[in-house]
Amino acid sequence: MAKKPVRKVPPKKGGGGLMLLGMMALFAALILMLVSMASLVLVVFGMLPTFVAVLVDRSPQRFAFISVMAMNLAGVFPYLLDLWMGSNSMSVAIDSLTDVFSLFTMYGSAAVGWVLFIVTPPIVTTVMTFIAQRRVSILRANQKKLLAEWGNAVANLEDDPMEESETKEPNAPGAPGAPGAPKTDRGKK
Amino acid sequence: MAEQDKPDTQAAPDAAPSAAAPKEKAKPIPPVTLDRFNILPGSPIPELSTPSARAYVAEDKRNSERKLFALICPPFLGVRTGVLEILKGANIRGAMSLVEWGVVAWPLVNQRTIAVIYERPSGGRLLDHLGQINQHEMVRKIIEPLCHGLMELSSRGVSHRQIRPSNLFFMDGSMERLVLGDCATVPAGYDQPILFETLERGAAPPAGRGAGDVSDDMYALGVSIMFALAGGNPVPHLRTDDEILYAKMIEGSYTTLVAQEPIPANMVECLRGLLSDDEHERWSLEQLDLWINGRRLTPIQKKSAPKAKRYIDYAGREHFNTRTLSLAVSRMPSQVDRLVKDNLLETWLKRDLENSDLSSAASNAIHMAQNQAGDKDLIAARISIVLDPSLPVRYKDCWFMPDGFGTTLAHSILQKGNANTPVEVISRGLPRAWFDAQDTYNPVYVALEKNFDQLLDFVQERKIGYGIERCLYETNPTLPCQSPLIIEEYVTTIKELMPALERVSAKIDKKRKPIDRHIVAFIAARLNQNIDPHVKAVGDDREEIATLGMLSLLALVQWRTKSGPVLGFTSWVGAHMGPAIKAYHSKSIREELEKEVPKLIRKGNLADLFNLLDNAEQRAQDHMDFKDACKEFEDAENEIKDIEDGSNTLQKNSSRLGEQAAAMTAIVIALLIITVTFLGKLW
Repeated sequence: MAKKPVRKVPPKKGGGGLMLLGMMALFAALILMLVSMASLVLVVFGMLPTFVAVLVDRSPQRFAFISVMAMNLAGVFPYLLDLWMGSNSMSVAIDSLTDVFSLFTMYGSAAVGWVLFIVTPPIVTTVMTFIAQRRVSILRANQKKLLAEWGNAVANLEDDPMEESETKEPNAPGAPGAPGAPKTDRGKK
Repeated sequence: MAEQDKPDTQAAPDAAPSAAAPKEKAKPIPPVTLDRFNILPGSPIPELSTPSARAYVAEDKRNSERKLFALICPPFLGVRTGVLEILKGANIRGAMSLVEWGVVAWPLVNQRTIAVIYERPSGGRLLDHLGQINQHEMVRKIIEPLCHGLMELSSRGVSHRQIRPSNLFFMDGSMERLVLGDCATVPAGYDQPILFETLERGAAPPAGRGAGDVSDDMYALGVSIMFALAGGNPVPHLRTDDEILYAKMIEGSYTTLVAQEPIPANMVECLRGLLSDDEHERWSLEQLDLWINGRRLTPIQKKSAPKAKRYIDYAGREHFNTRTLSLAVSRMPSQVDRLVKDNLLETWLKRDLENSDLSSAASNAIHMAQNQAGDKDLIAARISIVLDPSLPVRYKDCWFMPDGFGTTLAHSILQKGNANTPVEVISRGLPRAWFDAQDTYNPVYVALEKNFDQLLDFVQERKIGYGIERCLYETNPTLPCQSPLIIEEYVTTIKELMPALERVSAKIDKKRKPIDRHIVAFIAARLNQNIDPHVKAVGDDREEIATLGMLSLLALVQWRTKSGPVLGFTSWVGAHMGPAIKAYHSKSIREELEKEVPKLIRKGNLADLFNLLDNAEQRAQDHMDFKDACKEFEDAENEIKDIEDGSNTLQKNSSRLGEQAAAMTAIVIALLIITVTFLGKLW
């Protein structure tokens, strides 16, 4: 049989998603610029690890980006809040961005995001494998019990010797069973 | 012929004891006890022995003066036990008094057999006194007592079938009281020389002569009277059985036996009546009694068989009638082609014998045989039946009257070691052809025909409980079970089976199966009940069903015969219950049964053992549980397979799941931090 020519599907590029994200970021930045230029600056520089993550994480689900973004935002948010609750000036924003501790907080929290993303899957895999192995050993133990009680025939249903005998069983001698036995209907002509 | 028989038949019993005598002297054999009687194996009485049964001195332990003797039946022949039962203690005038009978362990043959004890006659045999009886005393001394003896037997439904001068005894030294000798130690007519048998039954060998009836006794009585009148064999020139048969066929019995001898005029009528070859014309006991009492009847006129205008040549002999031709065809089937070729037989029957019906019947028989198999034996058998339907069924070396098939079969199996020819007779439908050829209605034939149909079914089914063994016991109701396990026990009735098996179980290797083809067939034939389900179960291909079938069958016999506990035999049977126990799937049930079986064996009740092993409820539950267990095992196996096969998928899935979990965790943590921070600022 002739093989059908397989049409090569061009690999789907993450460009579309990235574009959308970019658009959304741009839109948010535009609004933020209109509302508070200082906040925009703080976010842009504070969330640089997130922008890096967007570029690095090419997976469809972008779990790395989400993890990093969430943790990065958690690190930036206290300083944004300081800005919004305080004077909301550019100098405060720059102070925050130039303070080592605040930068460590913002970028450190993003790093925690990365750590979470890297560490969690092996842990989950290990746990799930352990659960599966546990299940297998329980099933094997059950099978052993069945084999001990029923013999090897239990592993092979079609070899059941009594399969046909249910209908062709020999009639028992009714009379001998009569005293105290429940076979009263057997052996009758 | 009869005289020739005499030395033969007497010599055998004579010779054997003399040969055994030195051994017997060297080591005296203890007497064998039968109830209150002792039989002395070391004291044979050759002059009272019959051709088949040897006589020994017997003693009454309560009355040592009593003169008795015992006949020891040959264990391989069917004894007429029904007749023995009737005659025991009957004290029939004109017949030797049968005192006792029963099964004894006979040391000279190392097996059990039937011994029959009679009053010992002191006057010797009639054979030894032939010529010493005056012709005028013939009626009083011979005919009258024998007629009364036969009447007594007839009133009890017994035919003697062993009437010959060597089996008629004077009970006293003065030769006043003549009695009929033994008639039950061998099958009817078995020991009779051919001269004493009617034309029809005489054509069959001893084993195939059949039970016969009183008319056969009348004929034998006629020949015996003729011996007494002639003072010996009236036809010494007829040396072979064939010569006797052909002479009787051509001349008729009366002419053959009487022609050479001058006989008193008053005896002509009687002899013509008794020696008539037509069974319907032959004198009955009543007619003989009337003649004895002086009433004279019209003598029967000789009727000769229809004679052909021209003879037909067959096997170097010229045949003018169908009877001799029929016999010749049976004797020489290899030349039957001559008759078939160019319709020679049909033409001869039509033109020379002027019997168109017989011609077309012969033609039909030939066509049927040719369609059936076409071999010469079958063609000869069918032709000979048509030519003379009154003669026995004749096929190869198996010749028998239909009521003598059982003995023929037994003889074939026990003497020749196979039953090929009798089986062929049945499977080729020759008995049916014989019955179809009979031109008179006989209710006995209807029953016999039905029996042969049943035998055909048994022959066609070869499984245990059927086959030729079943035929053997169905057709020989008094034959002992021939199973090698219990042959020495001489088991003739179903009631004796369990005690015999119990006795045997004490000395036998328990690894041998407690039943075989003979025992199952014996049970099936002797137990008056439809036990086909049991027998079929015994023959089942599945070992566990066969084992349970065996147990159920034996339990049924034990219960039916009320044999009581049979500890040894139950233990023997119990040792073979492995397959029945293994039929249970559950190991715990099996272990439980294995513990219970020895307890029940100690009770000796096979029915209990059967009920334990064949608990239908428990078996059904076991089966259901087993099915569930199988399903559970299969499910587990599939799940394990899924888990093991899906380890890579699991790896991949768990990795993706981990990433997802990481993202979710990050979001949750972030939300918590944001919320806490926001709330902290507000407060």
